[in-house]
Amino acid sequence: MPELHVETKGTEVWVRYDGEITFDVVEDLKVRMETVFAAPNWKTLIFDLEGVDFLDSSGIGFFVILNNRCSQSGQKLILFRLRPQLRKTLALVNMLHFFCIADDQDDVDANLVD
Amino acid sequence: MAQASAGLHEPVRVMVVDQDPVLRRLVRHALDARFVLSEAQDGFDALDAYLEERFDIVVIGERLGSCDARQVVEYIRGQANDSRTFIVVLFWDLSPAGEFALLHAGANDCLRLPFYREVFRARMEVGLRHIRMTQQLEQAYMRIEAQMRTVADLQKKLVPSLAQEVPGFRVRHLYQPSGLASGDYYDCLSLPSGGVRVVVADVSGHGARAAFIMAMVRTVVRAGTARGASIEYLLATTNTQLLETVGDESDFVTIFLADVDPALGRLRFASAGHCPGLLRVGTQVEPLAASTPMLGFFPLEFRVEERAFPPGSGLLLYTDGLYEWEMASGEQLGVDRFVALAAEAICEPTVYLDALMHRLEEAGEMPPVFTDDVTALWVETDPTWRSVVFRVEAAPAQVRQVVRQAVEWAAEMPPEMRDAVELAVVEACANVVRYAYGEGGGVLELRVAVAPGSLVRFQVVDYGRPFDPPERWGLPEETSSSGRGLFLIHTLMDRVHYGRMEGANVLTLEKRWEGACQNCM
Repeated sequence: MPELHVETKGTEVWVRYDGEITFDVVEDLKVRMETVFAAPNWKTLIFDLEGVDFLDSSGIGFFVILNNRCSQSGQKLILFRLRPQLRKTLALVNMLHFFCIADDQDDVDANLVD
Repeated sequence: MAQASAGLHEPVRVMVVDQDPVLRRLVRHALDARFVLSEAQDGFDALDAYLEERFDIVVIGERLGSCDARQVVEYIRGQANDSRTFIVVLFWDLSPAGEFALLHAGANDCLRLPFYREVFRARMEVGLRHIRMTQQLEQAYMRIEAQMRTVADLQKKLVPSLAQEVPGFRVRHLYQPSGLASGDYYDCLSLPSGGVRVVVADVSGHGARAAFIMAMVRTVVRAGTARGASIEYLLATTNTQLLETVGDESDFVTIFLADVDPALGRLRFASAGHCPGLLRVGTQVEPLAASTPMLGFFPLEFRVEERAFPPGSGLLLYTDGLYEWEMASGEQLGVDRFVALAAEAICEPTVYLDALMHRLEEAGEMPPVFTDDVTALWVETDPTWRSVVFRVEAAPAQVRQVVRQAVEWAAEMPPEMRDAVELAVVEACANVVRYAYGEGGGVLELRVAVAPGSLVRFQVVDYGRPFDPPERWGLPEETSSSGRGLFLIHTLMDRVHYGRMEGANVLTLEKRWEGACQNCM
């Protein structure tokens, strides 16, 4: 399974993952994300998806869980740099508007939690 | 031409023909009010009147002018093709040979003149009884024929049209019942495996009884197949039903049942007393003989056999009516001669049953005159289809990997469709990994078939617990982390079908690419 790169910049946590987010890796990703949620003092989780080329319903469910957890604790999830393929998948299940999506750094900055 | 009086209680119409007015008066006075009399003097005038208004009884004297009594009788029975009218000939002087000739020509009675009125009346009573009986028989026949037509109309609805194309197969059939209702049954049913179940059965005898038993066999086959029953189960159930209903009578059924599975390249079949099916693989033809006796006499155990059925293979099933007919030589065509001719016909590049009939005609030196019901069913896999089966442990990483391989194998589908199909197949396989097996795990089979330029079919097969597909597959709440898989499958694919067959869950996903691709990614 590919690496999950985690970098903290002030109140931002940047996570990058390259590969597919599908049923076979989701359970492992959930476990690895626990260390991120355990880290203190961050307000915004930016998940960089530039290297993700395939997302199934398990992957969508993974991001729904991240989003729910962030919302419950006053934090925010931003899906960053989605490929057209992933946008299409999210659109098919009417979830594009559910997530905060940023295409570039300006979008991210505009959506950061103060 | 008018009809003779039809009702049993209507007056009986009588015509007397003779030039002698005394004779005509004698006849008139001998008849009571139940008879309505017309008179003619000349034989030809009498026939003109007969053609205008058919009579129930015609009384013919000896003096007819332009013709004689025998000519009148022969006209009525011959040219007019009338066997109902009761004909009495009156004569003064007639030899036994002359009387024989008249009776032989079709007269019902001959009476010497002068007659006693009571005797003549008694002869007319005989005529009356003859007419009433004929009318009763005709009405009974009409009732029976109406019932037979009802049976035949119902049976027509039971005979499949096979008009709908079965993807991946070429199916042709021939069906010629010998009467209104038939004891032959044929069918071609789609299976959850993506294959077809073909059946040809022949019930002994003809008519309503055979049609009734045929309907019973059809119900068992169709209902059982819809519930995923095996060939063995269908044969055993049909035999049990027959033993319960007609087991102590002479009725029986021969039947050939076969499952064609192109994904596995396999034919499974069993024949109970039926004439040999003909399997064509490449240019080789193998007769598939019956492994058990016919159904309906005693309990049986059934054995299913297997043969390879690679792409382009075909199977011909038929009933014995196709070879039990007399050739110009007077010999029966017979099964051996038929099998040889049929083997040639099904090795043609394109198989047409009309061409088979043409071969029969050539062999018999005459168009076949069938005396039995005739049925033939040809099924072949489309030789242009490619198929493959992947088998893997139903574990997440292995399954994801095999889906990649399967989609790669079907790479000829348009690129814009590929991601959509892959996503749907991933969703289907993920469901197997999550739900099909418990702790012990199990196998996932991914069957892939491609019809070049038109269709791709993925079949996700597992041997775990039965799947109960929901009737609705909408989207869940946005905050729900699951429940979108079935929605994606149904949205992305053109056809989704679940079936359980021989202990397996089979989910079939199909995508066509003629025209615009809906929801391609």
